[in-house]
Amino acid sequence: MSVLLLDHDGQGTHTIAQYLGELEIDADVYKSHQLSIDDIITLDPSHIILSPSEKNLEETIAIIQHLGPDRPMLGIGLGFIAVIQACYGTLESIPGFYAGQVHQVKHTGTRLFHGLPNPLAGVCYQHHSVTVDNLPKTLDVIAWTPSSSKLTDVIVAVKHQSWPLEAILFHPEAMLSEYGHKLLHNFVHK
Amino acid sequence: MDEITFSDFAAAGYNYIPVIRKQTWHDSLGALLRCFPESSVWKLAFKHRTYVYLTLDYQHKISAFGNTIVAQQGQTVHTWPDTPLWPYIEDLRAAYTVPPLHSIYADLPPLMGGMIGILPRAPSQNSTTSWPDATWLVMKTVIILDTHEKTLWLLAYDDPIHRHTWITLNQQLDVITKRLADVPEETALMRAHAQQAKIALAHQTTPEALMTLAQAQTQALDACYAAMRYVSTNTVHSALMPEPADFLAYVDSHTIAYWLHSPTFQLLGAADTCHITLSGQTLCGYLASPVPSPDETLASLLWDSLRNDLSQVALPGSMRIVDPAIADGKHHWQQQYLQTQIAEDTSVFDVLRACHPASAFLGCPKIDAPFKLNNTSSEPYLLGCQIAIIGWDHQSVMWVSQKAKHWHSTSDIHVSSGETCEEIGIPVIAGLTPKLAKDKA
Repeated sequence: MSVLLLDHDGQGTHTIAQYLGELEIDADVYKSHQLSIDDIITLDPSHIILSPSEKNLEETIAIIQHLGPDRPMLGIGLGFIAVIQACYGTLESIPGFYAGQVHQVKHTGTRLFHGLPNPLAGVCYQHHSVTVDNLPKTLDVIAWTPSSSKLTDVIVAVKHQSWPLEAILFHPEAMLSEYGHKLLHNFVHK
Repeated sequence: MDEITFSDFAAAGYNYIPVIRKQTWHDSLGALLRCFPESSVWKLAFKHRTYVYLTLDYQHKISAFGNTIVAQQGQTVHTWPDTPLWPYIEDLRAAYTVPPLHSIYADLPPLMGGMIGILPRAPSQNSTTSWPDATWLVMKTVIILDTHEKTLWLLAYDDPIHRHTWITLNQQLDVITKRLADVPEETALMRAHAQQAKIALAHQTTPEALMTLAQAQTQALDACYAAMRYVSTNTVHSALMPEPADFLAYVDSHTIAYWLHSPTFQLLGAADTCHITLSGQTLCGYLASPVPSPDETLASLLWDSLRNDLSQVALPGSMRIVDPAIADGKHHWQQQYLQTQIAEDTSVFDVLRACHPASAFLGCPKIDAPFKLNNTSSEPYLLGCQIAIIGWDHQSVMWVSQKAKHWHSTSDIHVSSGETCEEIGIPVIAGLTPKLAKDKA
């Protein structure tokens, strides 16, 4: 079992690799521009974690669409954004969200959140998400957080209905996020 | 440079020795020589005449309380009572000389270290243009090669009266240009965008200004690494970066220790000091934050960024985080500390590149910043700053300091104490503050 971490110079990619190391899970970090889809197939990782940035969002979306159907994949932070867009969803700015903000994340307790307290604290660095109205039909909401400025909750985690594809808007590796190790453990082992 | 060599230099009367490997605590003067090698420290000392406190790394500290100097190394404390600090400082300032390192290291390359600046082009052409203070948040003294004007500048910052002076050094241009040709391109071609740099004027704490400031730091320091790599590949044993403001680093092939009083942190008020040490395979990161924090969210973001920085070169799973602790008795500071082991085949320069500027505000632009800046300019070559660096041309650059006068000079333009550049005939091309421009007119 090996995890491929696609690094887009994100804020926490290497910390995630540290977490995986502490969980005794092999993780290889590659700069996103170093690998093509064929390269990833050749590496044959058991799991993929995405932390893309805007600069190569299109490539990341292509990876999701090509490998998403049969390769367990987790988008984190901007990876969440990429997953939404790869599934043809529309994002919008969430007023009141700012980088580093700690949110109370309520969840469904499904696979990724198996055995985790509900709610738990999660730190978001992005202020874009998707509303229920704009959520792609192929995605299910698995976690959300109340919004101070919106009547509806803000979606902070989704899973694909038929692919092993999940995404979380909050950062499990952030210092103020709770149960980050457990969440990553669930992604790999559950 | 080993300690014996250092001692020999000190015995010969040199008190500014730009290559330092290890601090020792034989006597108070020795400690001061090692602890106060950098101009920003003098500045700090003048601001706080009765109290000086410096942290060299997580276990080396020196303090001066009135007439008593205290140095702490781990659990060992050395105290020199009845030892007034200021006479030492004044003595050192009065005789601030650099040893002829070439006499010892015959193979020493001409560039012994480096610092690149973020220098907009406009100030070099328009004396009424305010100098971006952000530059001085990054560095104190720079040598600039204007590749378009074919002019070499030595930029001195006269701290006590807050003015800046350009000095042309055309007579050395050919020499330095030739030397720069040997420097890796990534160093020689560092540029910044003038407009971006202007935005980064100090005290403009808009998000854009802070972002730009962080980029400026990143670019400057990234170039610094390139210079250090140049140094490393030319068999120099160690190098001390010449005087970036509020930044000190001791580098050799096995050990680094640096700490950063980041202006970004200070502007934001979120953290004061961040430093990283590498000793052998052990890499430590440290972040001090005020208590109560004016912005806990931002402080935690900085901490997360620091963790990510160190994780880049850390052995997976080796990072250990120590719970936050109150650093002082009055509960003004909280220090966070983590320790990890670096991965195999990781060099000291890999560590610097990955970790510096530690816990950068932007996190990700450590490498990309120069390219991003260039991409924002339609005419990067013309609008951007040309190049700043690089050097420390061993004997030819000399720090001369006396009382309130700070000037940098070269071996062939020696500045005596109390003289200004005008008085000794160095052409002052442009004063970079309105006041100076008016005086010149």
